[in-house]
Amino acid sequence: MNRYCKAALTGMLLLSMLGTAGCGSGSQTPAHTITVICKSQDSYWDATKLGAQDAGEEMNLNVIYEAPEREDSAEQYRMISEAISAGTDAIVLAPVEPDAFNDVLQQATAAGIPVLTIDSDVSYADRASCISTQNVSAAAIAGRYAVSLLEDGDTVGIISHAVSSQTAQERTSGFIGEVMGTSSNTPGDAPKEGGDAPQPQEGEGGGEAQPEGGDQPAEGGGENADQPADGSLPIPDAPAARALPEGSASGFKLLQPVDCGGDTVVSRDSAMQMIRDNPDLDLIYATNQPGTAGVCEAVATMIADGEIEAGQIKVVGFDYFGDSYGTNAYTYVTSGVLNGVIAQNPYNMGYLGVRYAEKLVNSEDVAATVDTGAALITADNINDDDIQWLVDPTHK
Amino acid sequence: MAANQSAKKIGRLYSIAGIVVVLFIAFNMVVENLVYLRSRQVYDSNMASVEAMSRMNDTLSDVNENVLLLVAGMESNAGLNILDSIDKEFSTIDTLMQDYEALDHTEIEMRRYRQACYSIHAYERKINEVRDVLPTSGYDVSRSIYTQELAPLQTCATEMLMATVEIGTRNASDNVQRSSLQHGIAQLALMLVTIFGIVALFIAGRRAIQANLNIQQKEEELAEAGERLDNSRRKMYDAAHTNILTGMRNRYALDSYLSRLIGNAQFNLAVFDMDNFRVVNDTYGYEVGDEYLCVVSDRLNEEFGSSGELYNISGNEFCIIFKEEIGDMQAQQLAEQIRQSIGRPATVAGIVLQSPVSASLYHCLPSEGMDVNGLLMKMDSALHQAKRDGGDRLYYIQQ
Repeated sequence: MNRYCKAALTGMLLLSMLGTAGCGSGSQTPAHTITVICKSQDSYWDATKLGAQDAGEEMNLNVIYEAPEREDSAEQYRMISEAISAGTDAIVLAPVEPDAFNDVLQQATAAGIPVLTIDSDVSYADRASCISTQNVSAAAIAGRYAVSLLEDGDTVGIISHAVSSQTAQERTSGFIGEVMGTSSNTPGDAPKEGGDAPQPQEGEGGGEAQPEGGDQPAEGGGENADQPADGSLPIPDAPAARALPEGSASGFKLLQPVDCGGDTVVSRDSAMQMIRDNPDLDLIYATNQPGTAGVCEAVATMIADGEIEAGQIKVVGFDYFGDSYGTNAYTYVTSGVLNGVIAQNPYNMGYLGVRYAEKLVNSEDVAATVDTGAALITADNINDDDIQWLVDPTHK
Repeated sequence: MAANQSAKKIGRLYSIAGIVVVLFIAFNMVVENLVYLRSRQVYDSNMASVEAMSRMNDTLSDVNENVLLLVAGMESNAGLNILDSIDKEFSTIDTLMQDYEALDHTEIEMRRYRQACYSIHAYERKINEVRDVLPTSGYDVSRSIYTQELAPLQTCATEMLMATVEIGTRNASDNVQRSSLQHGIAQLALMLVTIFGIVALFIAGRRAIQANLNIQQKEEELAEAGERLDNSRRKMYDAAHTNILTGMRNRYALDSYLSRLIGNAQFNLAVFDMDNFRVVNDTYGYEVGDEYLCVVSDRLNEEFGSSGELYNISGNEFCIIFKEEIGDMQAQQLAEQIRQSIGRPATVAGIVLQSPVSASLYHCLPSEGMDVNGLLMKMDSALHQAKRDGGDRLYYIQQ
């Protein structure tokens, strides 16, 4: 009897303790699986991955993150196809090309799997939502900032990364629109690839009317698609696009954009050549991360070499960068070489991509397009908490 | 003794079971109260968090409406300066942030909240940068600034706030579920303990009843054993105080009785001895002699058992202590009658036996101060004197 009593009482105590002390955070089985496929394993996408994983953790989702080693549409196609076969509940895709996935995305839709895009869009009509930086808007921010740095008659150069790329076109047109005072682009007006994006060409006395016309460059396989094999400066064939707007209110002189294929070295060399060829050059705008890094390196080198004075050439860039380019953007900004750089919000793309995917799985409505915005980072705000978090989301 | 120990054990178990049940009920009541208080605290905190977040989001929407009025070129609304309203609304948001941060939150919820704060601060900073530009720069420029710079920040801030609210709501739901589980387990434990206690008490009660029955049985057995012991003692006493041959009380019984009597009462005592009994033994053997004594003793018991206490104090020697109410004279008569009764012929194994009998009689007073041995020696002395004087006579011993 005593033995049974002890056993029973011990059982009660343990049961009671379990009920009171335990009951900790019981991990629940993830409700849904969300597959996130990014463009490459470049460090830029680390923030997107982190955002997607944070959303998965917060919403109890199984987030599968995948990305090709390098931007590769075939590899992305395979990943999408495998995700559909594996029975994923939703796909969040950062497409390297807008038209390469229509058939496989059609399969996803047929299987009841919602598809969202992040960073850039696809031409597939039934994608549920696109969460990205509106490149035209972001470039317009850069343009407005450039204007604030310029005086009438100043000369502006553009280091582009691929004239055939929709991204490059939007970032160029958005910038030029603001600088030349003709911006009418709003997020809803962003031109689609293959549309008539402005393609200014070099011309003395900016604002001079040029005939519009010429073939739109063929689409490439990503931002670096048209990089020349021989390393020469890939100046686009003129006339490549319609002329700079006539009657620019600014009176700024705009040089023909130089396509550097998204290569840092080419961008650096092109910027140096541009500065040497145009003694009156006042500002260079770079349309992507390698271009910005290359321009900064060129300006810093020429200042160091005494070719130009500090502050003579102002630089406005796109996409903040870390130590992978030797000198990071923080150093260039705080030293005055890089006056301002546009930073996208890849973390929010990943986070909102997964968040919206879960909403779609639960048959909730989501916006067809979401502009995650862009921040202009300058020496004035680079140490602010929100900017520090933006450039390094792992910074708590 | 064993039964008592068992009863004590049962009683102790009974008490322990009762105490344990009471302690468990008290423990569970405390646990239930703690669970309730904790649930209440968490629930209140969660509700306050959700309310702060919701108000923050509403205020952010108010800011956005005012920004749109600025974009439209308005500087005042309903008599209020729009920029002042925006400042007040951000001040309200700051206060709500402080309220929210004063509450307990999970790390995940705080992470999302911090990112919402970053977006709100970025939105506020951007508004401050363009606050003077918006009303004066014309609709197209204002619209571009709004759509390209302000709206995305407001959208992200709203999304992060909503995500924070959802995390808080999920946490509240999880906490409610957890509390319900804890409450259920505590109630289950209480129920099990109560059932266990009732069963334990029932079993202990049955054990106690069984123990009582055992005690009663043991007591009865003990009483029977005591009775048997008394019987044995009595038998042993009787055996020690009875002449095995004749069944009459023996010399020890006489000594015992006399020792109580002497000094306390006056009484008449007579001793008889068969003068020729040895001849019978020698002539016919001891078996005949023994049978002869049995016949004589039966005769005495039958004829004089009511006159006093009869004793067979040795083989052929008898004694009687007359009852107190028998006077001296009557005692002399009865002593003589006894002497003659013993001397009457008796037939044993077809042989008629008879022996003259000598006797002595003495009236003993309490004040004489004699002991048993002295009295019996006195009686023997008179008896032997009667024998020396030829036997077959009774001597009355004078004081």
